[in-house]
Amino acid sequence: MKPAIPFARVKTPLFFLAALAIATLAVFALSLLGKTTYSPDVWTRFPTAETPLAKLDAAAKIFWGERLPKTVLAALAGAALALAGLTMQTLFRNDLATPYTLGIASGASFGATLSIQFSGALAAIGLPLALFGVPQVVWGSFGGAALAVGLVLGLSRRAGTPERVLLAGVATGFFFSSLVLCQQYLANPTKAFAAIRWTTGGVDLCEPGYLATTGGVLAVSALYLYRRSRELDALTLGDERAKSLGVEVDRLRVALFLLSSALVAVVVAFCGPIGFVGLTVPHVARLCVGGETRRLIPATLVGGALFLAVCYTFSRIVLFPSVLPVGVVTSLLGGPFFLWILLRAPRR
Amino acid sequence: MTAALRSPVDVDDASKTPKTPFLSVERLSFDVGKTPILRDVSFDVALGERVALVGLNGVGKTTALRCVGRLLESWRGEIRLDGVSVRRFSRRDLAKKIAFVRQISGSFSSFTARRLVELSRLPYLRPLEPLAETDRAAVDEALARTGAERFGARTLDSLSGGERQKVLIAAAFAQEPELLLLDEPTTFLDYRSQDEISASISAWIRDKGAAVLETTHDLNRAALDADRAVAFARGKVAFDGPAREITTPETLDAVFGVSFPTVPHPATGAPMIVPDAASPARFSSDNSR
Repeated sequence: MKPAIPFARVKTPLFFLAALAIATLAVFALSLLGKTTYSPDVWTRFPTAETPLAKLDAAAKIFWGERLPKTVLAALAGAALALAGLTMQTLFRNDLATPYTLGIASGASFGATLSIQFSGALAAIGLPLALFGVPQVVWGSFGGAALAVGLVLGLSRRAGTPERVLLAGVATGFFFSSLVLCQQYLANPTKAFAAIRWTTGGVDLCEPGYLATTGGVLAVSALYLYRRSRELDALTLGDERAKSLGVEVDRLRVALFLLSSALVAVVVAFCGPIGFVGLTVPHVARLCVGGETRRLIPATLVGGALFLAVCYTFSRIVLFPSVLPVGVVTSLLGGPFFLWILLRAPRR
Repeated sequence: MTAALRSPVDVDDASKTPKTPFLSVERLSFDVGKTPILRDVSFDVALGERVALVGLNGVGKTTALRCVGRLLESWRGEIRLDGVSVRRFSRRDLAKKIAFVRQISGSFSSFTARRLVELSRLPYLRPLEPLAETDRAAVDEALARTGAERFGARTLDSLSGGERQKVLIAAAFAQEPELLLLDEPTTFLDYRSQDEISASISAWIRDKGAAVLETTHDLNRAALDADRAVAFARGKVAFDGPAREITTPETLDAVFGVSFPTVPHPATGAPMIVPDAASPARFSSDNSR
């Protein structure tokens, strides 16, 4: 009998390594593309202590200073959003649960804009701009995301059914989006301009700390989820079944809740809310590797990274010299692709 | 758990010889909001014993099972395993003692049957620890016991109701519990699947010396398969005795407030209920609460 799941027979560690290699190569290759496409030997002219970025030739300058960091940020953000989607789908036991549909991304945007709005005031009362090396805007957006997840979890505990969870999420999302818009109307023009970044997603601003923070949160989350993958599998079968298999369900839920908030928060703080990744990627990953969390995690990470890196590359090439916001491209490419996947999958 | 208690027990003697209870439920009460569901319910289950919980719909059979498995926490009274309160176990340790089977709802479609059964080894494994030889053996044995090994490679959503139930029972076997809680294990199944599943449960009890507490609304099934029956009516225990006495006219009237004609089972002689023509006059009272 033909196995229904395409990659069912590939062993997990091998699968993990292969996935990582593919993602790395793809990010490198995508960074070569552009108005002028560079030959791969630009790889050898990397900035060092003796030859800093400023002293390199134009191609190397753009490759190492612009394209590569931004493509890496896009890849990390894509992986983080996809992992957040997977976590939320497990947490809410609903395939439609994503950072967007549950209003988490809007909550994070709200927190981020609020923290920018009051950055002066916060500095005045002695709150540092960065805590534990993590910029203040990340803490703000983490707070907003946590508030939104808490709200949706609280509402869904009372309301129960998956449909109601989604309704609660959509309502929460609209509520926070309106708050963000209110702030923009009330804010002074320069700050409002800065805040616009948190309503349309993009990776055009990439400061050195961004990659490390995103990568750090992503690595911690992915490792934690991987370690708990068997318990997550049990959780997808229902709270009762997980409990009777010995899983401390309530504790696990709190951890998943914090992780998904953190993942969404870093991405929103640096790139703004980028839709569709959290919905499409885990779904496609499930079609490719099956429902086992241990295998879904690497597949989701690489899928998310590739998807957003490709979307970003497309977004900076298609309307050159202007850059389309990557959030527009994800929906533009992702929407039809997702429909195609849905329609060709056998009916359950 | 001592080896003596785990030794195989002759099922035929189960209803005659008194045994030390493994599970003891003492004055268990549970409310939903302000509505009492269970009121001071006491009963026990010994190892090697198969006990059926019966009663009208909504009488609290499933609630009692969920209290025992600590899937509900806000009950009053005491539930002990081997003399130790279930509240004193960690979830993980409790999962090594008690397995709970209930029809799964929700999305589990992409799991294969074998994968679901393997997941039952969770309480015995550290995070990321691969299945050991003993785990695989337990999974293989469990699948073979219910005849589910034939469709082990298929995903759960492609299975029929009877096949899926066999997988769920196999998953419970693979968890190697001492007490198995089953919520309506044969409901909605065809007669052949009912027989196969029930036989696999009885064989498992015989081989492992474990205990089973199952809810059912099928009294004939209870009278044939169980050693003992405990019947709830109005939130209290209305009957606790040999399973074959559950279908006598006196018990039926006390528990269900209705009498049915019965005929003796050709092989065992246990009274079997046969349906009667609909006639409202037969019902004496509402016995659910």
